[in-house]
Amino acid sequence: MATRDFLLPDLGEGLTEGEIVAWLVAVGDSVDVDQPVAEVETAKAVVEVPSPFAGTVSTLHGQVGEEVAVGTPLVTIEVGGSAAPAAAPVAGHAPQEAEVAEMVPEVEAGSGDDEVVADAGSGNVLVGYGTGGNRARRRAARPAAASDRSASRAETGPRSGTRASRPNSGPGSRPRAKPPVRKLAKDLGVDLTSVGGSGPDGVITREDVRAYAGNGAGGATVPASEDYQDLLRQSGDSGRVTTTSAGAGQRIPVRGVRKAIAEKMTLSRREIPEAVTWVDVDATGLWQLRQSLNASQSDVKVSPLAIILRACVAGLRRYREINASLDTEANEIVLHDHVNLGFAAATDRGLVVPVIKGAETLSTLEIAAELNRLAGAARDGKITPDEMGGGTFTVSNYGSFGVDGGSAVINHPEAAILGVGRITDRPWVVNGELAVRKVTQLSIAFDHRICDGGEAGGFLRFIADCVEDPAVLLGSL
Amino acid sequence: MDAAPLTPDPAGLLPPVQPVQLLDDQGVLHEVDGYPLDLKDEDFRNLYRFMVLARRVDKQAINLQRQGQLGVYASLLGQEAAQVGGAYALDEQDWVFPSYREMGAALVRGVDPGKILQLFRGTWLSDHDPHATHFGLLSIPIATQALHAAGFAMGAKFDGKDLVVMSYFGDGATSEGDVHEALNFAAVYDAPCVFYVQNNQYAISVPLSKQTKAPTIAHKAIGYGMPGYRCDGNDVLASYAVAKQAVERARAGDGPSLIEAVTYRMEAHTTADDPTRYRTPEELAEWNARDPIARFETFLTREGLVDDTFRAQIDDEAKAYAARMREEIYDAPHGDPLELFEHVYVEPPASYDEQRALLRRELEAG
Repeated sequence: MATRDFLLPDLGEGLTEGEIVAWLVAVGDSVDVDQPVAEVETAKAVVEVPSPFAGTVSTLHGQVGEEVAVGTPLVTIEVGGSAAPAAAPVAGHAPQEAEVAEMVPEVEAGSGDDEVVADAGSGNVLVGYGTGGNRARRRAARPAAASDRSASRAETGPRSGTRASRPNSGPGSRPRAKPPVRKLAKDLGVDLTSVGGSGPDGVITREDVRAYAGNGAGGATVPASEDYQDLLRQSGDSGRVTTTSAGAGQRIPVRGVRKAIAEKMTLSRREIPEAVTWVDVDATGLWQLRQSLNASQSDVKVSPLAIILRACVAGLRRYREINASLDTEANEIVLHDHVNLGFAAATDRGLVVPVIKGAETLSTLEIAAELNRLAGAARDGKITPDEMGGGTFTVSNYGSFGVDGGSAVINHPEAAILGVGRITDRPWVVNGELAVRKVTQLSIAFDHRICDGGEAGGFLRFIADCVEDPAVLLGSL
Repeated sequence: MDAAPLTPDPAGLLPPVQPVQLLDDQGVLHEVDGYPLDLKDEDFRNLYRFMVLARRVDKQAINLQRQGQLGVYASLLGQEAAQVGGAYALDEQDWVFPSYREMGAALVRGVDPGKILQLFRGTWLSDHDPHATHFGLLSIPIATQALHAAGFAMGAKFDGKDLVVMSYFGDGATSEGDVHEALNFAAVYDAPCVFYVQNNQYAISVPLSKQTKAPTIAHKAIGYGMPGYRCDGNDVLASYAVAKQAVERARAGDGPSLIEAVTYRMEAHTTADDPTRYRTPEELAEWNARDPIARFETFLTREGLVDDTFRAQIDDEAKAYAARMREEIYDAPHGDPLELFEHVYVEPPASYDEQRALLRRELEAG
């Protein structure tokens, strides 16, 4: 028996995958041309997908809740003796289909009981709107009668996002490249924002992408991209754990934020020859400053981290090689004009790095306010891609996990990352005598291609001095 | 010396606030003064046939898109009466300049739907011969066809040809400069043109309330010095009768008109749209109760104009129609992309050669 694969088509415009919401046929069922075989949800909508072939269903490629990539088989159908092109439906031969289509094919009144938040973005479209990351409420487009389907779908947990990927860039700074070049970059894992364009008006050409990839400079994108909301939701799907056999443990798909983190970390550790140094610090001065700041005003709650961030701004203005990145293509070190301070934040859905933009223009209180706002947004999953892009330096407050020291991974392509341990009471020698002080440990991991121990150590020492005696910081303001 | 008198009397240009309706939601006929029905039994059956064909073909096109055969498709579901009724008011020598959602009007004009769909497959910009059916190419850019229609009608008038031009566009297009220019030119030159707006309530996701502050779209007509008409676009008889008035007016040399057929797009804007994000199930249910085909079928059955045999015959024809369209489209070969460069310039500019070379390199690179 000849079989034919029905490949999942691009159901919207520029979509790359769809999630199986429900199977409407089972293996062994006979199907007619145009008979709906599955409900598939894309970043655009839930739609019934009709079979292009008549025959017997031989394989359903995927479980409910799983994603199918566009262009890969959705269902395989035995079409009889020959793999002839799809036969047109013969009159009176399509029992599944209303003779005159119903006026309401997709959405039935009152089916709004199954509401989900859909905020996927699909990138470019030709007709109609893109679905770029809005958070509109969306009602599942499906007859209310299909309660069994609703049930099966409910088991899949939070929606996994599906969308065409978009290069990692904020609005307005989208690199200029033609669609086939974008696809090539995607295939090669090259982030177009890092590629210089040699074409007219800086358009990135196929050759540019190849050359960049050839340098080994390509790599994964940062979670801080427009894809982020999707990544979050994909991560939410980690409930989809498969147990293989007894004693074989569990297998969790690496996807969403987890996948982005994995790629980002791998890129950093693969590319950056990093070195780490650290120092113990008496943070009593910082502690007292923080209390004074909080006692002097009630508008914003100032955390020790906020003051350290402000010290970083001063330090980065002094040690500019730390606020830098390496352009491997041009073989140049880029010293950034602005200080965009990222801070690592642990959330339910994984690690995210919100960025305080233009931190060099902000006072300590303003930094504290922005830190609190962004941390809250990250925790609530409401952080926008814009708020996570464009960082020039990152601080990891691993002390929030109750630990003292660590060797943080540099947030590629930045030059360094500052680690801050917990602040805890410890014995400390003050003026030749033992005393109980607030003590913490600071570390810096730096890209040894960009700077050396002199700059990194100097920067770290400056931060440490600010922590021990905030008057030092005052002198730099 | 007296100033030139204002012509015509502006009050006569105003549309009725309530759309003209001949068939109510229950399929009961209410005759309205000034809108006589000059239809024979055969015409009633024809109108029904075109609406059923349109709906079936439309459904087939959506299926083809979901089978990966079309890049995108814009459904007309719910607008069958407005489209068919309007186009049915035209004579053979008349012309239609459509938007991209006019499968129903295309069928009335005798256009092969499979040829229309080539556009959505990305093979040809409409494969039909406009001169054979007097049905222009589908316009993807919003409102451009209004200008084509106005210009074509002006040309026909200059040439002394007896023909009327109907331009279809949507509520969203009425906010475009092109529509303003088209209406103004057509009015100033008394062009034999009918501007037929299918007000389907949404321009993609933008509701009419955010589209215009005018009392109705038809009220815009008075600003151009042409009459505005309103009809229930889900009533094929009203759509026809109102269009007929406007067409006759244009044919008599009295100039253009603006028709607002009040209807509703039941499907998504296109297959790449999710309308549940911007409209409610309640609203959909409300319009579903005004199904243009159901209403007309009720009327025809009651009047004894259609019976089960006729219905079955039409359904079979619709299926065969859809099947033929499917055959034409399914795996239809794509042309050579370099052909894009063949029919645009007689003397190509230098940049054009560069673009062609770039495309060739891209194609060779795979």
